[in-house]
Amino acid sequence: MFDKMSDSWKPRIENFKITMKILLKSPASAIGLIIVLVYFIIALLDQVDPYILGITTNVNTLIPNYVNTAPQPPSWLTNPWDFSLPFGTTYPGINLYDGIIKAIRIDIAFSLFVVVSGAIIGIVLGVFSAFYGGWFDEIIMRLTDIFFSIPYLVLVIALGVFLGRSLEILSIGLIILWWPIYARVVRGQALSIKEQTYVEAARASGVKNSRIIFRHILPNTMAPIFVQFSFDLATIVLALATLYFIGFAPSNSWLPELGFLSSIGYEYAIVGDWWTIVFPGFALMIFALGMNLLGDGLRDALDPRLRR
Amino acid sequence: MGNTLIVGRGLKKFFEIKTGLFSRKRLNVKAVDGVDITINKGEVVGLVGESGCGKTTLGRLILRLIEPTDGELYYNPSEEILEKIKNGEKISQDELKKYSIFHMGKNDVRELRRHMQIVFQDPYSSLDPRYLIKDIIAEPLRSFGWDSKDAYSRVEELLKSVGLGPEFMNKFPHELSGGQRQRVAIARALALKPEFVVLDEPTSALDVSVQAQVLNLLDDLRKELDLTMLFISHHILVVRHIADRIMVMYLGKIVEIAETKEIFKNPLHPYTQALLSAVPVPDPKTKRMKIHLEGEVPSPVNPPKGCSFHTRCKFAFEKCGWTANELVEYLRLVMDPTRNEELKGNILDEIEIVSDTELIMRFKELENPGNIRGVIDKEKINNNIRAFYGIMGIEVSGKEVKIKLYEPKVPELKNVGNNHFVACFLH
Amino acid sequence: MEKQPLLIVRNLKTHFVTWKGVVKALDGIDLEIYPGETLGLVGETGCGKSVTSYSIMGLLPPTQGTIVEGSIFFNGIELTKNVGKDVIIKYKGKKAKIKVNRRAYNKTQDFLNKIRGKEMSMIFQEPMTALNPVLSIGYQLTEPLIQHKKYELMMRILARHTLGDKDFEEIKNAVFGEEKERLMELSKDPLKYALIEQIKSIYYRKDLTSLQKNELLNELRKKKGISRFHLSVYKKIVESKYESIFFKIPLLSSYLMRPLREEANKKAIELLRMVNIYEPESLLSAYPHELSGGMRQRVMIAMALSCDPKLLIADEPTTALDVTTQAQILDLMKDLKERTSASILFITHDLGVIADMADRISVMYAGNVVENGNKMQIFYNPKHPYTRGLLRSVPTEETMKSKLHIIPGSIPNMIDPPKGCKFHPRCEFAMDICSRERPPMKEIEEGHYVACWLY
Repeated sequence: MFDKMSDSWKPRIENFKITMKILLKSPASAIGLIIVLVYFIIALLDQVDPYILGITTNVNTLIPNYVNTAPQPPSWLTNPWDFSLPFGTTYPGINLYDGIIKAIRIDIAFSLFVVVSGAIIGIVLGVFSAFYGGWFDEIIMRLTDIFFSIPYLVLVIALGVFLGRSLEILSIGLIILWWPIYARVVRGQALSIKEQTYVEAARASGVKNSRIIFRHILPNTMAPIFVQFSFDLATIVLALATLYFIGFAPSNSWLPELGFLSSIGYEYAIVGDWWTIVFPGFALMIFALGMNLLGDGLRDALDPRLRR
Repeated sequence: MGNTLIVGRGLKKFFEIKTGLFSRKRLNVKAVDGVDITINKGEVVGLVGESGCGKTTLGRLILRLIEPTDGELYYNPSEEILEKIKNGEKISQDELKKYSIFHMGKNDVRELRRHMQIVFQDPYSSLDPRYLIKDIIAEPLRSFGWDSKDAYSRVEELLKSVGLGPEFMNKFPHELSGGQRQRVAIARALALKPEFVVLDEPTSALDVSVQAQVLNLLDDLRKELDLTMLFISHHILVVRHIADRIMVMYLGKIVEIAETKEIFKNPLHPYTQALLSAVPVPDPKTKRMKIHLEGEVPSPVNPPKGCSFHTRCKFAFEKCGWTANELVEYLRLVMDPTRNEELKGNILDEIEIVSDTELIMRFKELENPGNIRGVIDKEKINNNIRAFYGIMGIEVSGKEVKIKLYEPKVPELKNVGNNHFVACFLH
Repeated sequence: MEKQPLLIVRNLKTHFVTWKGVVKALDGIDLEIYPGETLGLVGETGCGKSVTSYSIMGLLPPTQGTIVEGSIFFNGIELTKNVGKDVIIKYKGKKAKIKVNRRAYNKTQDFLNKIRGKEMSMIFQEPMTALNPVLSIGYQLTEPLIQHKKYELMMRILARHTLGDKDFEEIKNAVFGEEKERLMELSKDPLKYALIEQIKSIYYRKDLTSLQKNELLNELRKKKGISRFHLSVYKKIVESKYESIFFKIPLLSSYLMRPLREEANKKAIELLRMVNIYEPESLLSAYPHELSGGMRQRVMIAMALSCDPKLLIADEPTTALDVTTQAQILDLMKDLKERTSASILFITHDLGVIADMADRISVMYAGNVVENGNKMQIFYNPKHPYTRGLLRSVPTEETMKSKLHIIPGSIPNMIDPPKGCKFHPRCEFAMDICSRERPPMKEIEEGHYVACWLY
């Protein structure tokens, strides 16, 4: 029995290997992949065993040090080879290395939650919309039109003002704004796949509609979804950072978040304590860059035409 | 339950194309325009025709893979239904809901899928590229409740019966050649042990040598499993090889039906004659006079009235369905005094189409009205302008000449003996 | 009288570089086409027949593959002189890398452009891809004429206006009397040739009475529509062969171009009539998507013939067409061959079409020519086991209702083909030597060659 199992996985693994090969061929996407992997490993380790990364305190909050509130520069600037404060500290005495490592986990977790939820909603609506057409399709398309026209920051801020500025409200707001793009992407793909002969063959074989949708149409629409997914993860992280930077966070929390870290260091950076803003900013920027490179690479790697 | 497996009456499928800015104009593509079809148990019926004639649509219609516009379709009909159809009787709504594939509920149709299957033309797109061969073939079994173990062992059997070894189970479609993929498609179609299989151009995308393999395979399977087949193809020589009876289709209608030998020995419909004469035969010694058809196949959006072949037929005469718009071009050509001197002094201004059967030629000058009829007759005979056969009468009044045509009639399929049917007014 | 072949291909090898390895699409093929004959190239998918046509025309995509060895001579000119210099393949074991030397490649293309489209042209399988969908048919027909054929257009105008009545009568009688020899003589004078072209087009019109044809001829003779100035300038240009300079002067060139545009239109209409299109004037403003498959193919043929090529390469021209349309197009091609005495390289997998069109046939398998002979020899005395197998697997009247003969196995992998004779794994007569060495082409009767160890 096990023998037969491995038989059917072998070709799928081969397929995956080919995708990886193409992905790693281009240096840009290889770098992107590495960056993304590093970030995800950090986030994972944060969750599982933060001690490995040098975090000894609570992972969910920043720990201010009211004894020494002024931002201190990175230790290796003044004493080469001294890595006690690799990124320095920011007001009020928060160890930036600590903060950034913790923040990566929060940011990625949040972003994953939002994008995955939005994607699931969008994909399901999109594929049913494409398959059944008719009034359902019309309604969904008009909805997506409406949501596309709303600038997301404005809506999220409005929601926050009226319903409270918690992470939960924020995430729901963003999810509502994000599903339309997935619906659109999937619908477009599904419409063309619907006309493929193998779908017709499935119907002729007596396959039920639901099975056709989930086993034939959906898997073949996944390629652009993965690409969109990687770009969106970066976008949502940036969105969250932006909101926290402009001070939209719940007022009494010290949630580790890259935008938040940047915001508290902002005033000090202007007067010369550059590290307070540079390191959190870099963390954001490199993540976004890595995600984008990976997304581009995926788009090429998954393109069936380039595979032959 | 008798010998007849499939009976279709008045099958129609029109596709709507929306044109115009606000979808105001709606054109109907008459892909299948009133087809009656009977397929008997154990026979192979060949359906031939060129592109645009509707044969692919008809194949899918019979399996109800597309929704019909009109018609009734019966699978394994009872004696009573057969009687009613023979006598041209109407069938009640209740009976339709129970027996006609076109009127049944979706679940009943799905049940029938066990018995009626299809092999598609393009081996490259009829298999889902993301699935392994064994899953592709197992799919119909799974959707009717088979569990994995039973399904996979049947898959192995099926692969063997189409000449592929068990090593093909765990491969992806892109690893197979065209011929191998087509065999997989055949295996899939046979998974549920159907009685009836539609083959839509199964070998058209394959090389000659591969085609030979697949045809031999189909022949073997047919005998082994006692299959009834509808073999759709534009390649007449292939159809001749495998079919017992052949139906020729043109612009949505069936124009001739006969047994294979008969239709090649004695093609009656002018289109069939032209079709057979045009087929290139791999024998340099055959000297054949190719019957050349005028023009191209008309668009199925607006098929010619009456007999849809009349515009290209060398034998078309009055009844065949000439309409005013078809005459205009010829009249303009012929009414030219430099072409026909008898018309000296006649200067044609415009031609107005009043209806399908009436048109008016308006002249700027009409000095020789009497010669018009003579010229038309002369051109009709000397230059074989068939369109003029449709003219019923010519009336001159002042500077206007009114031309009336015969009413177009649609020819019905007539039995001319020997189970040979033709839809042509010549017979 | 020994005729010299128009096209000679010797030991042509074309390789493609893919990430799976090197595909040896052509592995040393030999071909010859004589003037005025049709050579049929037959084979199944993957045998390399399309690659052959692209290699001859120089249309191989340089980043994917190129000719690596061998030579192609067309009308005595070596087309392959830059082989190995413009696109280079470096072999590393089973894989390889392909490099394009842009400068050398551009040079080759410039060189080939002088021949392509003028003496050698091609018709493709899918007429839609050869026609630009956003340009009207008229534009696509007249633009090349206006760009590259100014000389010919000017000659046409000059022919009408400067040739005397005596010449006119002489030419008219030769055309209407279908005196081929006389016409070939007269064609040697380019001015008279230009007139012959125009008169021929009137003569071959099936929709006109002889009265109407004479009318048109008289119209042709009337020397109006072109100013004297135009005529004198054209004369000067044609004699001096410095045409490019004249047409670069801004105002003068647009003035000179006007009659040429009209002339190009006239020639385009003539071409369309030649391919049996009934109302060519209305077609000029039409777009490719408005035409049916048969008409598009005719337009392609018209375009291919517009330069009067000596060699026409037809790559599966009728495969995408209906049977009845195919019959029309094939008869058209035969007719045109008669009229223009061009040679045709007809590539197809359809044995029926080949039996109709070809004078001689070359059978290809897996990148090699395995048999070569005239029509009768190949069909009635096939020697190579592949040819025989192929002929026997076609459904005919005799095979009705019985088993077709099949060739076991399938087409070999072109990256790693079988050693020796590539057909040996599927051959029922395979001997020991077949798996070791490739058989040479041997003449077994006059004009009939086979590459098989059985002989």
